[in-house]
Amino acid sequence: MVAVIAVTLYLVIVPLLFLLWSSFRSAPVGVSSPLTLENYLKVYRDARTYTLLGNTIVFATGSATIAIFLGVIFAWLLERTNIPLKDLIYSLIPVPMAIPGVLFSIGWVLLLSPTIGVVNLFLVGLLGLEQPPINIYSLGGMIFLEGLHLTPVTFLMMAGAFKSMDPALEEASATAGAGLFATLRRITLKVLRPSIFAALIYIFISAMESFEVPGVIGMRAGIHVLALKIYLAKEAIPPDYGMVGTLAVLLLSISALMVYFYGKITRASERYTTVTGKGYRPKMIDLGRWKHVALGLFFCYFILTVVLPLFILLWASLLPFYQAPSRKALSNLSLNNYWSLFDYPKVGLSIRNTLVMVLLAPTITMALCSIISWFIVKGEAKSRQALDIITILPHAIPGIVIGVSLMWAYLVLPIPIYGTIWILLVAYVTHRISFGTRVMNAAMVQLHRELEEASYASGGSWIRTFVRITLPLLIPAFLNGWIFSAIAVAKAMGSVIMIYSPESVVLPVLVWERWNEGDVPGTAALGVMMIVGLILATFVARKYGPQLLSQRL
Amino acid sequence: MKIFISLGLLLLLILPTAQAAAPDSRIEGAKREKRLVWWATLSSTEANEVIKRFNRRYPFVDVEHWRATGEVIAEKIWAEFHAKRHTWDVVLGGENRKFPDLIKAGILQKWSVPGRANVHKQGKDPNGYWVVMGGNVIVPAYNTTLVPSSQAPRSWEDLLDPKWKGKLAVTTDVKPWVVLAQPGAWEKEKVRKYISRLVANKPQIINGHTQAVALLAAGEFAIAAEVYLYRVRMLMKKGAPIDWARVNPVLFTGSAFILSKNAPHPNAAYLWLDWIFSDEGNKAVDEITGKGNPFPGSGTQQAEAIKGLSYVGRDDGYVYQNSEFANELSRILGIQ
Repeated sequence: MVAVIAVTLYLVIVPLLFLLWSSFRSAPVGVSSPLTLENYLKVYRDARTYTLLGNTIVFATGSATIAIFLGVIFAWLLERTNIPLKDLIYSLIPVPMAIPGVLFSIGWVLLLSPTIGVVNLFLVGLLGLEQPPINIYSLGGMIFLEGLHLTPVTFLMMAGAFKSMDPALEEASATAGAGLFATLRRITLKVLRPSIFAALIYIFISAMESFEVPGVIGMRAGIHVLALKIYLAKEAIPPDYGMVGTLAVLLLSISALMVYFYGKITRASERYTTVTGKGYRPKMIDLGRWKHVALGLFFCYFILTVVLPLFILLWASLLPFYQAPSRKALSNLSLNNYWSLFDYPKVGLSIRNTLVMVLLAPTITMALCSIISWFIVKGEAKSRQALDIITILPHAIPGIVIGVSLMWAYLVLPIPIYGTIWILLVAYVTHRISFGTRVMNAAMVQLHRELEEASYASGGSWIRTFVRITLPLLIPAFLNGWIFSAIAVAKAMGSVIMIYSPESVVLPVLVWERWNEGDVPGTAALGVMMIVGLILATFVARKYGPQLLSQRL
Repeated sequence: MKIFISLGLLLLLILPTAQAAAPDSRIEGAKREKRLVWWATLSSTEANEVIKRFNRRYPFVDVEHWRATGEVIAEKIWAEFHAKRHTWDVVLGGENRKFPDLIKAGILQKWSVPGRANVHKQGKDPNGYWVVMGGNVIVPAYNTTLVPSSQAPRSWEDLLDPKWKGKLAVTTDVKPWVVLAQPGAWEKEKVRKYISRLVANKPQIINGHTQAVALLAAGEFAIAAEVYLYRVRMLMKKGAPIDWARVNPVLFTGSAFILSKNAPHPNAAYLWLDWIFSDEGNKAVDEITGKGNPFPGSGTQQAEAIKGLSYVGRDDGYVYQNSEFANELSRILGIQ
């Protein structure tokens, strides 16, 4: 336990110290500079910072609301009801997350732009309109897209919590005559409040630090957020790590405050435990005639987040350069971009490296986070809230900062991982600790202490109890966290660019290269291949994962 | 006196032979070293093709290429030097403005190969530390479906015409405008006024050059104010309905080769630089990347394309020292 906490602290503290240190410097890394408050004064004296902060909070609140609303409903439908086509839905929900960031934003422009957006062109033709009906370049458009983009994460965070929740209370409510929605509102959502808050904090921070939607839609709508300023500071010549650090410290402080208040609200976490020593057996609620409405909701969601983006990516990947769908464009379709994937240098090596990382990084992350979460949720130590706050921080540290700090750290430290694939592993695990702990916290809060106490009373050690009692009950959450982390690892770019070497090249580097070369169709082809791989991987993980994990434990 | 003149003539005769003889010892050395570590801003697809051509002549050198942006490369050079690790031999595009610092710290070494003489004087360091291999020429471009050739812009000022209001795009990369503001070109005040007037045309702000050219070809806007010429030409070859505006001056940001003082494979590095700047290497780079030197007389595609147009080469030191001006332009454009 102590070792795990020490490793986690070490992983988080390296980039965190680097971030803080650079925020108090005015010169580039490697050039000597006295410590100064210059960056802070520059940021906080600038009136625009407050406008950006305001925009950021509106944007993040709006997107988080949409994502939580949809994510919670979807998690409930899939985990607690008898909705049909579960396997298919489960495999498709994470698809939007697998779309490389650079393609996600341009994909939506190609779909919803008032000038060339396929959806607008289609609606104008269909309804005989004079003006395109949808203008994506607005704050509403930004919130809508970011909300949809973050829904799968919320879903994955909530699904584990739902699965670990004993339905006895819901059944009691139903027996007492409460309807489906009354039970959902009065019982289920109340019991899951800590998990929902935990997800909300994570999603809110995700929206605050997200650059994809603000970078494309916001920039053109003239609505700027803090993440844009961080991006511009990072892209400046030389990269202004001082500014990146200062702004990231602002995001970190907001994150830390939220976790602090969350801790205050849910201090008495036992009020929310439902998985106790009594027979724990989740039962599925019969949706009855609502089944079709629920399927309809999924259908609409999938059209928006899976079918349309996938269609546009597929379309772009078959053309020599992007053209709106037309008869002329149809004659240009070919598989050339796919064939050329095989000509990319090191494509085999990058697939192999990515697979190794996708297997290792999420497994290590989730194993570490399971233990940390136990300490945070079930531990007695006073330092548990501090640990809770520290583990959320990597989420607000920009990937590039993690990359730069690791490069410097491992050039200097006598740990020989610089230039190897293992430095990537450190970066991935560091970046994913926040997500892993949030997922496991959300599920852990549902487990009553009495199960573990029974084990201790029978002479079981902490490790034995944790591995034999606690972890098996957390398998659903562990698996969901694993899947999401695997997807995030498969497409992580920011932290990797700085520290990969010719031998440790991974797929996101290829995506980044294609994009930087101006090869949008090639990037789209790579994106399509990655999504297909992801759908297969999610399917396999869902089908065989629980079996594999329970055999191991 | 006659003896001295004769000896002098003899030396002149011998010198080229000595130069030609040098590669033999280099070749032997490179055969022993077997490897070369090359960090570059060139993509791995392009780099791989260049390496293949090099290997036709020198099959015994295994060139290991690592791709990153100029900033990342510069940062990594610096970090490795501080940690006393010497892994790289040659770099292409490690941010020219950092070269003085790298030279001062003793990270780079002077080098010369016969082909250096053929590079235009603007493309090489008089002190012998770096030579430019190529880079990006930056021009306005337009969608030929939306803009008939008769109305195509012919000068930077044409972009200010109110008829382009709402139909124009600029990228988030303001550096080209800072290049245009260099002494001897437009200078700051003219650029400031120009950008202020450009804003009146309500340009759409596009994040990055790739997106700008792709969306221009897709017809999202009629004109992109400053994009990479080789990308426009690349898409034109594929049949995209775009073309570029022959304006004066065009802008150029060069990528230079440097050599590490602690190169682990100095002979292989010499062979590489010798070949890259030979006619054969020059031609290969130009054919593969389309980004060969645009200087007059270079004979590259970019040089041919901009023949007759004046150009402003990026002075990295100036761009670096004027980051506040870059921020000001960003603010005027509404990027931040």
